[in-house]
Amino acid sequence: MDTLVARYSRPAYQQENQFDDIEEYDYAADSVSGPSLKFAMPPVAHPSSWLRAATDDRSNPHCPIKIAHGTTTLAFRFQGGIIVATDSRATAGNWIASQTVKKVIEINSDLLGTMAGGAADCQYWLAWLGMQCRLHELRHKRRISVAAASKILANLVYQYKGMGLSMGTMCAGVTKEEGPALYYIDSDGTRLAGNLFCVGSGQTFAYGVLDAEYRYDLTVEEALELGSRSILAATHRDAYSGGFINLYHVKESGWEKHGFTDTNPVFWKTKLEKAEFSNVTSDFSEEV
Amino acid sequence: MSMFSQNPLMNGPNYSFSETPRVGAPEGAREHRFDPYTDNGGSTLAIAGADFTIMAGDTRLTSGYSINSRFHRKVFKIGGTTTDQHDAHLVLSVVGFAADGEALMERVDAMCKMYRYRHGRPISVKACAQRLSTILYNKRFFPYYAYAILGGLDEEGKGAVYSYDPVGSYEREQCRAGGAAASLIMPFLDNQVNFKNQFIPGSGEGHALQERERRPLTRQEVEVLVKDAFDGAVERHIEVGDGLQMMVITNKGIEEIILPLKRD
Amino acid sequence: MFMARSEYDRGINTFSPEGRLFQVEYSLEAIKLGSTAIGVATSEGVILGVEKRVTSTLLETSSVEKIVEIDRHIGCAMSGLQADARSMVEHARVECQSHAFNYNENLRVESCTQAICDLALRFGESVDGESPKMSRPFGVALLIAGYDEDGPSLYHAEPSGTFYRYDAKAIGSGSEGAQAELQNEYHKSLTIADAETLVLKTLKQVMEEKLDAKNVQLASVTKDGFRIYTDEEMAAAVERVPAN
Repeated sequence: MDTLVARYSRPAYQQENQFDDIEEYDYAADSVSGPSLKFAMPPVAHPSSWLRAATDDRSNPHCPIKIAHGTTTLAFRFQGGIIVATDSRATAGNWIASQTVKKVIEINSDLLGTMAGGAADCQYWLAWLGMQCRLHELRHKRRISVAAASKILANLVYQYKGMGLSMGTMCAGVTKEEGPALYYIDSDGTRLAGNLFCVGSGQTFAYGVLDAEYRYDLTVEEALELGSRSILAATHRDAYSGGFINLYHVKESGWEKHGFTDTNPVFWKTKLEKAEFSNVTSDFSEEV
Repeated sequence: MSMFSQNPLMNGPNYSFSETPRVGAPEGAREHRFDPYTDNGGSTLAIAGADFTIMAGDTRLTSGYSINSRFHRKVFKIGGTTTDQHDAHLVLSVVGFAADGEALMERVDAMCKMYRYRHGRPISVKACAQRLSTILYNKRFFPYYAYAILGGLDEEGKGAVYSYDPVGSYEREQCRAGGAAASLIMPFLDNQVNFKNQFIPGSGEGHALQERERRPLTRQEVEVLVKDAFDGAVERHIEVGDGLQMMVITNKGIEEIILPLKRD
Repeated sequence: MFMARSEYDRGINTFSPEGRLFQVEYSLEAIKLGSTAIGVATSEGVILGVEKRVTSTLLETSSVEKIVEIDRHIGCAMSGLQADARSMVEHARVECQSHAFNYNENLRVESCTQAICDLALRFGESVDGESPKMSRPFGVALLIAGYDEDGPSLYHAEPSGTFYRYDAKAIGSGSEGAQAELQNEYHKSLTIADAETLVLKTLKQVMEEKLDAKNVQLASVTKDGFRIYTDEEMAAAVERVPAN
């Protein structure tokens, strides 16, 4: 830390390579840790506590950067592959920053990642993971396993543990060796293999529907419907979730997109055609 | 989703962070308060059309309740070959902390120039959008306090708007408002640009109502929308006013339009 | 002559009084010992071909890898010290991927070649704290074939760090004869199939062994990307070479 402080106690114009480090990376020296280990640090003794004071609205309600935890994402394994589904709302405090966020990140044509927590953290590191997977493919002349890909990501975030990254992501892919494989990775360094995961503030609502109806031998159609219905449930009860239902199906030949559907018409269709959500009536005074 | 608060109405005024608390400092540590950010207020706006993009921002610069400048630009041409940017093809708007925003703009502009030297052609808006994201993320642990919006024309000549959070998450959108009055302008844009919650009268009852079909807006329509959006924001937000700076990007180049706003 | 040289070819970064860097010049000689590699660019794509030099019947020919993929849209053929090529290829691959990561687009073929050549002159004594350098120049030349938004292109990169774009180029031990042959036979309207035949025909003339489907390798880069030919495709291509 002393060296860090010393580095920044010089005025900025004396700092070396001010311009260079914009465009020069030493990828070859350590290609797995990648370009981005040269992160700028605040000139304080405890960067992470400074960052927390500036960004974490739990420990500091007046922080300038609000990390909202609002999101619902889910993925589950079944006989026909993996279903990945998310909502699309981004919130900052109570403000809905976007209703059209793509929370399913296409790591490459075979692998999908999901986004919960910091949008930038997820976008950046999953894109970085895509690069590592491609390099693995070039070096070893075969597709990377989902286990290996998720481990690369877990190892990376573990290096940054305690520095303020915020991500809860799922890696989904189908390979010949593994079959459908699903891993949950979060910024604490947790990495879990499993059949089904829901992540985010709406996870409990999604789990409620998913656990009740889930079977491994679901047909593809049933599985897609279940994924969509679970997200719908979460957008209905979790104020931090909403927008569109983003639905994907992962197979051994790669993933397939099954729409980015507005929740509102889906909600009414579900209610009217299946007589679900009967607590919702046209007369608000009767509603529970 | 990690987003800087863009909503002073709901979260109370966050004009500057003089109240940044010291959290997690060890007992007895003598750490002087490190407040690298000021909120300089103001608002930006971008709308993509079929063959043009309009980027706009007001020109007031505030600090707390003081107005420090009535003509300070937030919208910049970047990617040209010279300092006057006469041949630029991209526009970057920044709002938040002006110093961070301008540092970011200079860095992106330098990157665009380097790209031209190295690859022998101007950078595409798609490539610049991705690079801007990584530039912002490289300061993940000491963020630029800046909401950036990047505008240009894509490979097919269509208008492109990319909006960012301060640490680099981004999305291509049809329109986006940033800064102090984002929460005032964005609902207006949802309705007027994307026709959200507009239905065809008499097309049905309740949820059976048909949505009004979306159509691309013309340049004249968008210019009027932008002016209306800012006039509305000036009326209800103390940090917005004085002047309106508009950049219109078409395949003929970038045209800058300066219009007056109320100065009170 | 030899005496004068020996004074100045020890230090790898020392100019001779005539202004020559002998070690770099020697490295160019190393390539002339390598197996022949040929690239031919057409309007549809680029064909790369190498001779494999199967030195023993016990050698598993598929393990002789002289054409490699750099990215989906770029491939390269090598001649010279193959181990050196590996680190250049690795560098090029990382460079392509980091460009894709940072700019969300493919690296252009010329920029990729430039990146490889940037590495070529990073030899000499390492300074503390810097990334370690090569102790000598690379002993390998590359033919870099790619397809980008400007269409197909072929580049030749040397250990000296210089590169040029070619319509058709031969490197390695048979390069002189092969280049003369290419000079005579090349024309702008070649098809991919013509280029395959031209590459094989030229290789056949300069190879010591008799050309067959096992001791040569072809690869192509077209708008669909880089592809190494399968055994069946190799057999078919060799079949088409006129016997004479």
